[in-house]
Amino acid sequence: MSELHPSPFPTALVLDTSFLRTVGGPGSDPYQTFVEYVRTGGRELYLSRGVVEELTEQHGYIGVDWVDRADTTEWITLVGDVQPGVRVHERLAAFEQTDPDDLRKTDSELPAVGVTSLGSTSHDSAGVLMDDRNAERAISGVIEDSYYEGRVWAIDIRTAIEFMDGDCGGPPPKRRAVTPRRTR
Amino acid sequence: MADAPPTTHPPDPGHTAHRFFVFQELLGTPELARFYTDLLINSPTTVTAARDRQEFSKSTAYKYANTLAELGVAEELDEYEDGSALWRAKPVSGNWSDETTLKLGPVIVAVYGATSVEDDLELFVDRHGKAALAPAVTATIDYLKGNTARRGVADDLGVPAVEAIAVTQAIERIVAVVKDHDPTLDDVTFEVDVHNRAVEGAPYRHSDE
Repeated sequence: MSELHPSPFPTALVLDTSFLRTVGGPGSDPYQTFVEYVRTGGRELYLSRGVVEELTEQHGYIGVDWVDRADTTEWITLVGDVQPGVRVHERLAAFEQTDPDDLRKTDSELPAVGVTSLGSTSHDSAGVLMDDRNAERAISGVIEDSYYEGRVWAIDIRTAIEFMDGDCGGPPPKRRAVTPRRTR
Repeated sequence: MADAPPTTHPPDPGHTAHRFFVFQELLGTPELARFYTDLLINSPTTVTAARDRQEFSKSTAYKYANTLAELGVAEELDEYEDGSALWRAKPVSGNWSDETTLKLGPVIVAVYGATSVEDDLELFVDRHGKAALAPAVTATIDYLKGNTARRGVADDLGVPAVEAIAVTQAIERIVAVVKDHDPTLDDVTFEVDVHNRAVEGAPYRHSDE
């Protein structure tokens, strides 16, 4: 899924810690592309509870204080408790050959935040932006053939930045066919 | 430490001890490890080209080249490029067995070498010690094989998620550049492709890039 751009690109963007690590700070091109795209495109960003906890404990690995920024801007929302996606969680547990009870819940919480954003706002689709191909694969795998296929996406950071780069005046991005929305 | 490839000769303790000291020298001197890695992935290459890529002074580069020659892991060839002698480095490998077996090869040497120029690796070593890098390399390879998410690496290493994310991101791009030169990874297939943009940020690069 990740090499194919969802079309239209989701308007609600759930940010994983891995995405925020790789996108960097004001001195990096991906950061500038991302912030420009969000500001000009009227996108909204969401930080899950687990990601906020990780950002709070990160001690020097991420240059931008995204939690503080959420307090001072309207386009970033901190999301409280959500029920982690059970199937995502089980799939991740299988990947990592560990007991689901022992697995961190942050990865499985991410698509749940996306689903929550669809239910509580006017967004038609949500994208989980990340730099973790295995967590992305697990999330994509359980969204496929579900009610949320075509509405919630796990998107690799490079795919996202390439799209945003094109949408901000660069070459047009490759687009996949629009996935029909399910009506059941 | 024992060499992995099969041999028809009886085991030679002197040979094994020599390899032990090679690794001790490389892992204990990050800048030497970095110079060795550059020479290895670009062999044959000149000392001048390697020092330009890694930004060493001329005297330091020749000192390291001679050290590698004395260790028997690099040699000066009787061939020249732009008037300078070409050098070839050889891949080093071995196993260290204790409670578990640790495979040592060019990738792990390259990662230790990168601690002298990669802030995230330096920070990780500052917090967890040099020894913690070896399991981090193993866990990153497990991530690249598709066996775990980055947060799974955090659990394996017993570090906060953000540290596991940072260290696997720093290590994966080094693995992507050095893997083809590491005999300990000959039979390993990766499910995860490291993106070209990530590789561009690696502390090592091939001369044709």
